[in-house]
Amino acid sequence: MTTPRDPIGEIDLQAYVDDLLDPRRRAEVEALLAADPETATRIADFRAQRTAIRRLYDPVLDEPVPERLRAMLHRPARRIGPMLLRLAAAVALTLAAGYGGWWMRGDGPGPVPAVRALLTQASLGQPSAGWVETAVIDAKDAGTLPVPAPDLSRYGYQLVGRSSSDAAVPVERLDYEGPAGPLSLFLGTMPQGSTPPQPFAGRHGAGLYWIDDQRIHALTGPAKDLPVLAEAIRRQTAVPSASIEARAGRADPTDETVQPPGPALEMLPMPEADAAVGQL
Amino acid sequence: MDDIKWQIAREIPHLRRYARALTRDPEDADDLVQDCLERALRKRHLWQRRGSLRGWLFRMLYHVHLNRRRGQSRRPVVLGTEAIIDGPATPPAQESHVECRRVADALDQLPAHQRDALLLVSLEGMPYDEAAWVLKVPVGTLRSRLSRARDALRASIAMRRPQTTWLRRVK
Repeated sequence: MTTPRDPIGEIDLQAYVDDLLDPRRRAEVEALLAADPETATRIADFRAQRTAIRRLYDPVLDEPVPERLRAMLHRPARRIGPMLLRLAAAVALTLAAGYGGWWMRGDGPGPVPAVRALLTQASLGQPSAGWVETAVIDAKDAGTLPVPAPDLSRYGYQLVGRSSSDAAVPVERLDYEGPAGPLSLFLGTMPQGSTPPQPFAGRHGAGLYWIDDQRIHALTGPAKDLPVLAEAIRRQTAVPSASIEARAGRADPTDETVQPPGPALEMLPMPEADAAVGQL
Repeated sequence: MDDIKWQIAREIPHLRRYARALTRDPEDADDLVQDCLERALRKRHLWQRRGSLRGWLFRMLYHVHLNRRRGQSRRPVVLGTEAIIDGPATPPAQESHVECRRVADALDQLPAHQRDALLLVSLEGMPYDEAAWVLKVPVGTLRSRLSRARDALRASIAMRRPQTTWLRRVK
């Protein structure tokens, strides 16, 4: 005795055509088709379409790849490699050591107060009072951040904590754990200005801070990884200036950094679109 | 050649196949693939190894394709089916050759977004959520487009089948 499942709908029939059903659902669809010749003809036609489409274009797979396409893969990369970035950062750190944290003294042409506030947080050995831990659900979950939490897993750094400060100037902190030790990224808003990564003395030793896209970022962690990680974060959080849609909170059509959804998304109801299927 | 480059290289035949189906012109298709590869190689450090590289590349290919199609101000496809069917590959048997031509002609009549979805799923056998991600639509929209495309294609092919046989006899 099998337990009755949802009635077979258009979604199942389409997935049957594309061989995307699990064996049990597949058997249920086949039972329905055996009892319903009209639907069976329709589905058989759909499968024939699929075969015809493949027959039309599958020969392309066996063609030799044109030389102009193959040649592209052998060109040297134009981008500055991580090694060079590391070297540049090492030089910058050495130079900065001479300045000895001039900005902390508050004299001279130091950073504006918002920057100083954030860097102070980022350089304290322990978090000051007023930090609220928030659960890490998913790196893609933006929380209160102006951007999604950067994904540094490629570099071996996993997001382990997120907290925000309830101070007058809102600051968000993301904690990562990596092969060379802990890493923290402090984020605050910054209405104007743009500063390339600058060294500062951070909580975890070395630090880099920069201002981009109306945000100030302060990254502190293992010195040898910082330049590469800072670049990765800058790439991931960059807002394309041309994209007004992205600023309005819609998906950015040029953003290839977004990864495909997991299988769970397949299960989410899409009322509007399902209704469209139902009307067919 | 680094690891990602090597993996990208392996996807080129698949990219070319979908590009050929999208553009129906071998030169246009390879231009499209070239643009896509250019972008992919520049941005390959952004691929985060979650999800498939194929999906990531197809999304890029499709995005480039849409940009180009917009630029071409909806130039109708006037290419004959011969360009596709009588390629260097082994020609299919006579009867299926005729059927393939019917399908190719019928595909041309579909709204572009329906055809793009049907071709992607039919050729690549991609799960719907991945195909939806490639085409940048919700998965429900993808399903709806597939369903509409298949019914429209079916009607269009049926129309071409028995009633139009006399046309071929005259020719």
